[in-house]
Amino acid sequence: MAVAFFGLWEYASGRWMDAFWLSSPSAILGRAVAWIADGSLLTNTLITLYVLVIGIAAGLAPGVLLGMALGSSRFLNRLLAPFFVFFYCIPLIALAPLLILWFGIGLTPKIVIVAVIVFFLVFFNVHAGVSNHDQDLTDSVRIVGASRRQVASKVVFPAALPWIMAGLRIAVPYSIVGAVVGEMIVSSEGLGYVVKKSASVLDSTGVFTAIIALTALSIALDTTAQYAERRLLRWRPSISDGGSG
Amino acid sequence: MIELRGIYHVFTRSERAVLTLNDVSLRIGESDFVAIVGPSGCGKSTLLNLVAGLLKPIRGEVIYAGQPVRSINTGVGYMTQKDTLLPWRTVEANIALPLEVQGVPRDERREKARQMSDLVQLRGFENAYPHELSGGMRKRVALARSWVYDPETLLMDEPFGALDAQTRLVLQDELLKLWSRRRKTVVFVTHDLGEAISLATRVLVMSRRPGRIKLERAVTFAHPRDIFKIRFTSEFAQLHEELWTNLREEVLTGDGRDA
Repeated sequence: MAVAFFGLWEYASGRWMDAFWLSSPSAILGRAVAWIADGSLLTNTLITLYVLVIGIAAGLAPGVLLGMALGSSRFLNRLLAPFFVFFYCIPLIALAPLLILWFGIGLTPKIVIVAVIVFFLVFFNVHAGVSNHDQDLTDSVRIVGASRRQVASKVVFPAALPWIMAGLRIAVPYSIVGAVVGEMIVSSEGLGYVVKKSASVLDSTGVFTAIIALTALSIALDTTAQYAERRLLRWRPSISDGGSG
Repeated sequence: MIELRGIYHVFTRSERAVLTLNDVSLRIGESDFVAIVGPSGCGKSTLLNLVAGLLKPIRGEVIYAGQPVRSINTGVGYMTQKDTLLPWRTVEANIALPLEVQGVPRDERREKARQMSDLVQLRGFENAYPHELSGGMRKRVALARSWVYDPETLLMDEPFGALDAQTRLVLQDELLKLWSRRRKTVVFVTHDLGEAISLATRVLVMSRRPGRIKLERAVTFAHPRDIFKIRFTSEFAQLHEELWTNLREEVLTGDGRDA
């Protein structure tokens, strides 16, 4: 499939359509080699990766904690859940220009965008998971004398883990969208910036090269999340059947 | 010492209130082994949940060790009918959970958990996850978990119901040995009258819903008992006959009412 796709692309480029718009796999490969050689591909990829990793970490922790808190306390839930739903309804990407106004043109606003996106996706997942948890399990641990904290760490958190991982895996591609949009608005580095800069000088080869690098980054992050999920959720029948048990 | 005073309990199911316990009063002394039998749906499990503090009566009081039970009762070990193993923990980690909660050091936890898993014949499965076990094995893990931390009272809700006949006898025997050694208070709910008589020092027969205590008999066979032979004595047969006559009425009319 992939071979046919790239073969067709290579063939069509310059024959059916102008290579100026479509570029071609060989040109992209050439550009990638050039950018790897001068180090700029690595630098820009690392900058975007840095934004993603810090942003995901910053969004994950509060997403998990608040999701668990609201999911296990009816009072907190009634008090706060409507606000979260309200904020979630704001198209988060549209906040990007505002965040840049607040946090300047450095990496911070991009990290904040990623963090906010990850936070909401993880929060709603964990919240749903914890709200439907098995009361019998909690009771069985409380009756042997577990404190609230022990219940949280020994029952609620491990029970929420599948939901955390599911939220995270949904969040990864969205967080890349957030980072790239942030970099496209104002930036002087990162793969989103490369896309924008190449497009502004009508360099379709540059745009495609950066997009392919972004896709590779996305796949790498998803694979990492998938690996973590498999390791952490070994106890689940559906996953350990895969042979990791 | 457990005391139930004039307990009424109502269970709400799809907006309909059902009276499950109707004026139940009962005293269970220290080191008693009380078996409760009754038709299904008569409130046997509810009774245990009240003692465990998981449910509250609408009238009446549950007194445990001289104190009214108002919230979850951590003095009891509870083996519920549905197994509540933590699916993300291995067999050994599940058994060790109560010790972990109590802050017992890791080596001692391991040691005790191993002993318990040997006792309930789970050797070789210490590192398996619950979903890898059969129903009977899961029951044995739950059993080991409720014994391992030595609670003063054991509440057991049809603990051996799902087991095959041999395993069942072996575990009944173990339970009796354990009880003879440590003289815990045991409240044992079962639908098997034979099991009730062979194990308990007292058998209570409950009526159909709304449940109340219909009949109470002391079982006077001496301890230690031989669980494998006790069923064939004439005293056993007599007691069984008397209790069964009473239980049968409840089971038969109970079915008629529910239909």
